[in-house]
Amino acid sequence: MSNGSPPPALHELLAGCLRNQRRSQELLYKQFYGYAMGICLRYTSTREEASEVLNDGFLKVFTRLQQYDAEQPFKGWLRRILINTALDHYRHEVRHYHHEDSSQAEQIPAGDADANSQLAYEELMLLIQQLSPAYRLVFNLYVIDGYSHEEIATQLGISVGTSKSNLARARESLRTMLQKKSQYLKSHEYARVTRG
Amino acid sequence: MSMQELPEDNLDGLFRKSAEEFDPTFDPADWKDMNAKLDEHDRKALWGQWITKSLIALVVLLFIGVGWYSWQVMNAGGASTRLRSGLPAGTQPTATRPTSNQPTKQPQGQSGILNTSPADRSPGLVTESQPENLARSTENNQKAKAETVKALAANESLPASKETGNTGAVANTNRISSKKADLPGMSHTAQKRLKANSDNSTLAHTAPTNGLPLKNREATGTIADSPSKRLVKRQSNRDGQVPASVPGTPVYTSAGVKSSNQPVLDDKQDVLTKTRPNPTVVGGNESQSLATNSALRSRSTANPDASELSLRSEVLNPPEIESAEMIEVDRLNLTVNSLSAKSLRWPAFDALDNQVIHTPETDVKQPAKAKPKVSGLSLRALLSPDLTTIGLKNFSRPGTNLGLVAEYRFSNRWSIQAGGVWNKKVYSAYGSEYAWPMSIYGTQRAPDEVVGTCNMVDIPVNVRYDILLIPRQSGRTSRLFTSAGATGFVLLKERYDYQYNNPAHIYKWYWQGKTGWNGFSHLNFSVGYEQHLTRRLAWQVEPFMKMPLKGVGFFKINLISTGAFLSLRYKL
Repeated sequence: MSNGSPPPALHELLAGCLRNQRRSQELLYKQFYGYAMGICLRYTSTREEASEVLNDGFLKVFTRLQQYDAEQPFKGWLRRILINTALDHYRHEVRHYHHEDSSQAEQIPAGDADANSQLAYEELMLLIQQLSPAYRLVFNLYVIDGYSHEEIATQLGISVGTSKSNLARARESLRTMLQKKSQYLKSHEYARVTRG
Repeated sequence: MSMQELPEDNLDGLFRKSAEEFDPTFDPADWKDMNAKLDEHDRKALWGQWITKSLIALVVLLFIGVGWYSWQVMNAGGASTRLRSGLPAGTQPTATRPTSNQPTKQPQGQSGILNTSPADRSPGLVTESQPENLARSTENNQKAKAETVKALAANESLPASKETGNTGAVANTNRISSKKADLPGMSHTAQKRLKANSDNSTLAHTAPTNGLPLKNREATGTIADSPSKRLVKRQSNRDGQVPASVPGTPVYTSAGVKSSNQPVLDDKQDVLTKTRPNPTVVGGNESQSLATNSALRSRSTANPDASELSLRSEVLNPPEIESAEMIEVDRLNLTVNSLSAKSLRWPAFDALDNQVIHTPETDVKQPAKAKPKVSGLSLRALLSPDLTTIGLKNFSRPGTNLGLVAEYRFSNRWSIQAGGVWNKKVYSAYGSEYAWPMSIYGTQRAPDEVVGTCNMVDIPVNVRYDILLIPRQSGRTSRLFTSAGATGFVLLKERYDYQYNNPAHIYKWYWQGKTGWNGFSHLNFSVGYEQHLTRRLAWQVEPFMKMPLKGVGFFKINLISTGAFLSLRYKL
C-alpha cells in the first residue's frame, strides 16, 4: 500500500494523464487553460468557436500524450497542437467563411480600454478576431507564432505571394481598426463604452 | 501617436505582446464540455478495445475448441478407420465362430471332414501342409466345375477381397480357385501365394500349429469371400455336380452325395457358407463358440485325429447351437433351392444382397461402441463486458470478464457450476457510497469522489435450471436456462483515485493495494440460451447480474455488476 503525495507537478499531471486519469486531465486543462484559450481566441472569430478548438486540441493532447517529448517545453507542444487544430478547423469550416474586407472593422464596438495608455490585451485580441479568417490566420502565424511565409503557404494551401499579400492586408486592417478605435475613444473623451 | 503612423514592427510587437500577456479566465463550462468529450472518447475507445479483444479471444477460443474437437474427431475417426480396416480382423471372431459350428454338419453326412488326414493338421507346417491339401483336393475336382469356380472366384472374390484390403482373403480366394482348377500349375501358384500369405505378418504371427485353425482363419479372412464361395456352391448345386467340387453344398442339397476326399475344401467351404448367416446365429453363443474354438485348437494340437473326432462330437452336443444351426440350414436350403431355378448371375446378386443385409448388424454396433460417451461434466470458457456501478445508475467504462467454469449436469435440467472469472472493474463512488477508512485516515476529510479501478477474480458457485428444452433438427437440444448462486471476489489489485471539489481539502491523491479474498459477497442471477455447434461443443449467451450482499475492497463498496457472458462450452 502506498499513499499519495501532495499537489502534483507537471510531470505528475502528465503521468496521470497518460494513465487516463480524469482528475489529472482536469488539472492539466485548468493549468493551461488561459494560455491555450489565448491562442484559440486569436485564431477564431468567436468565443464558442475558440472553445471548440480548445477542447478538440486538448483531446489531442490527452490522446497523443505518449508522443510528447518530455525534454521539450510542454507549452510549445501544446501551442503547436492548438494551432494545427485551429487550422484543421479552418480547413473544415472554410466554406462557411466569407472573405470580408476591412470594412467590417467599422462594426467594431469600442472596448473599455484606457485611451491614453493602450487598448487592453483583450481588446487587441478582439481586433484580431475581427479580421477575416484568411488574414487572421496569416497574421497569427507570421507575426505572433513565427511561421515563415513558406510554412504558411504550405499549411493553408496558398501561395507565398498570397500569404504575404494577406499579411499586408491584415496589418492594414488592424491599423485601420486601431485608428478608428482611437478616433472613437477621442471623440468620447475617455468615456467608457460597454460592448454589445 | 497616431495609429495610422504606427510602424509595422511596432504594430506586430503590440499584438505579439498582447497575445503573450493575454490570459483568459477559466470558464467551467469549457471543462464540462471537455469532460463530456473525454467520456465519449473513452467509451468509444474502450468499447472498440473490448470488441477487438473479445473478437480475438473468441477467435482463439474457437480455434482451441475446434482444434480440440477436430483432434477428438480425428482420434475417433482414426479408431473407427482402424476398426473399419480391421473389420476383417474384427469379424474374425464371428467368422471363426462358424468353425465351432463346422462339426454340426457332420450328422448330416459330412464325413469328408472326418477323413481329413492327420498330415493336413500336422503341427508347424502350415504353408507346406496346405498345398498338400490343395493338391489333393484338386485331384478330386472336376475340370468343368473348376473352371466355373475359377472364373467366378477371379471375377468376384478378388474384387471383394480387395475391398476388404485383406491379403489373406486374396490368398484364400486364390487357393480355392487353384484347388478347383485342378491344374498342377495352379496348385503351384497357390503354394506361392500361400507362402506370400504366410509372409504376411498377421497370418504368420497367428499361424497355428495345425491345419484346422489355419483353415478357419482362411475362411474367416473376410466376409467378402463368402459371396463368391457361396456362388461356387450354388453354381455347383445348379449344375448337379455338387458333391466332389463343392463340399458344402451336399449338406444342404443332398445328403447322399458327399465328397469324402475333400476334407480341406469341405471344411473350408462349410466354414465359408456358415460365415454369412452366422452373425445372427452365433451372436448369442459367442462365448461358447469361442470356447469351443479354442478347445478345438488345443485338442487338435495335442492329438489331431482323436481330438478332431472327439471334439466334433463334443461340439455337436450343445443343443442351442444345433437348433440354431438347423434353422440356419433350413433357411439356406430354402434360399439355395429357390435360387437354383434362377440364372447364373442372380445368385451373385442375391448373395451380395444377403451380405448387405447381414453386415450392417456388425457395422452398426461397432460405431456405436466406438462413440465416446459424453459425461455430465463440461468446461466453459466465457467472456463478457463488465459494467460495474454503485446503485443502478451511472454505468461508466466497461471492464472485462474472462473466465473458465466447470459444469456438471446431474439431471436433464439441473446442473451445477463453479469456476473462476478474472475481471477488471472501473467505477466511481460519491460521498456516502463508500466507507472512508477512518481507522487509517482518522478524521481527515474524505474525498468527494473515489474512482476505483480493480482487478479481481470472481469465484461463482451457481445452480442452473433449464427452463425450456428446444429440440433441433440436428437432434441436439437447445436450452433456455436460468441460474442463480453466490459469488466471492479475490481482489488482486485495487487503486482508488481521490477527487476533491475543493483543492483545500486535498489530503491524499490515491490508495493502491489489495485486500484479497472478500468472502462470498454477491448473489448471481442470469438467464441464457445455449445452442449446440456439435455434439460436444456449444455456445451460449447469458446476461447476468451480481447483486451485493456486502461491500468489497478497501472502501467496502457495494458493487453491482452486470454484463452478458458469451461462452463456448465443451462436454468432456
